Amino acid sequence: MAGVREQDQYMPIANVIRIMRRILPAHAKISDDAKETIQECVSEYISFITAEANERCQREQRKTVTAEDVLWAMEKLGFDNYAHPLSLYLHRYRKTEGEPASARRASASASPSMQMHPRTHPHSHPPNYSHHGFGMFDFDPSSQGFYRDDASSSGSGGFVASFDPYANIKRDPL
Amino acid sequence: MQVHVYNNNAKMDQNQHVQPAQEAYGENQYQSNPVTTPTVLPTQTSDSSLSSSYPRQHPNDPQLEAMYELRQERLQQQLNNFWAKQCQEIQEATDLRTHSLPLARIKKIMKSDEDVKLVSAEAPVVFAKACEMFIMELTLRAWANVEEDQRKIIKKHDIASSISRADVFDFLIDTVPRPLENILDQQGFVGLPTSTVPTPLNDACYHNPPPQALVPGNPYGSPRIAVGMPILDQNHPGLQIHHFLTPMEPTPTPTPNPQNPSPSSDC
Repeated sequence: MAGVREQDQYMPIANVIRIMRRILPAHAKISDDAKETIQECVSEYISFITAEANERCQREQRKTVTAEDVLWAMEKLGFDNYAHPLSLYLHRYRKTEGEPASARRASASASPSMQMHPRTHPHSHPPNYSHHGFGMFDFDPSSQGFYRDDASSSGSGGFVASFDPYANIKRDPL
Repeated sequence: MQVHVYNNNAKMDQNQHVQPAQEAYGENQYQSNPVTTPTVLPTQTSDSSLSSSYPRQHPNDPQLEAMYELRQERLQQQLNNFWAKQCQEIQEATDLRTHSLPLARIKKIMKSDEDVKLVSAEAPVVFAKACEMFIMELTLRAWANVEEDQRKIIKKHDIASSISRADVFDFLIDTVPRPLENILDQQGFVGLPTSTVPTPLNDACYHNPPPQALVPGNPYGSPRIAVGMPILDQNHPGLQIHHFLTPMEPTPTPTPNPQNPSPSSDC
């Protein structure tokens, strides 16, 4: 992945460790190389599923990869066990949304802080905010990173320091 | 052919190796019902069919057979319980807007592929939950590997071993190649391609096929002396390496496998 910053290629390791521990007995230990391997596997998983989902989009001459495309790709690639709980998850997620646009914006803004408790969206919508969460930012060149959506991302959550927002959640030393 | 790293006796070796049969069919995990009692139930048709469809290395050892069956059943039960619990947790979740993984990071990884144009807001949400389950499934499988070796620390090769036993994880072979590459190098298979084309049945038989049928100096039944593995040492030279040969074709007519293995169920 040319040009991708190292820390942006993987999920934050603190989050990964926390999830691993949820399924392990208390006395289990995890070596550092195992943690890093899981990080790499997760990124590979996202890329693998996304590529398949995107192929379907292109066949159907669509430009936006949707949640349905992701679920379809999982079933096609053998992750049948995932598709059922995730369909349930998506269904319930949509039912909990109030105003669709603000809810989607709120969920996006929640990710930089990664706080576990619920919180309201701290920012108002930028001018010309689009219903789908995409707008002129998607097509303007951005100096804030390597992706067109960086402007939209930073506008939504003040995600300026690329790694700092995750530093405060490293609370699970081995 | 499967290549495994072990640091314990021959009993564990065979069960480690034969286990891939259970996970050759991803759908089985979804279709199976959870076992409600700790007793192994040989009457489960899908499990029996799964077991007998995979050729065994040592059909004459009923003790190893029984041990293999028990471990396969245990892992399958753990996975079934895991998936049932996931559905239950999602059904009962009260806060669906708190995600255990950052959505912005997921989106960035999705868009690292230049062919991906636009990503809807819900796609990273689905991925956040999917990756959470993916991490837990890999961890659960790796931990089963650790327990069989009577260790308490998950190492990289536990993950590599787990990945090599389920076709659904073929896409990860290049992501965690080091243990297999080291093993293959020691077996004299330098330069062997590490990727395989999936086939509908028993893909595990075709992973990293060796160029020759026999591996001199590595017969089953005479394992090398085990050396205790230091913590965090991924490439300890004392690791035992066993190379198991399997027929290239599955059993055409699998038969139900009773709890006490009988000659008719042997491959």
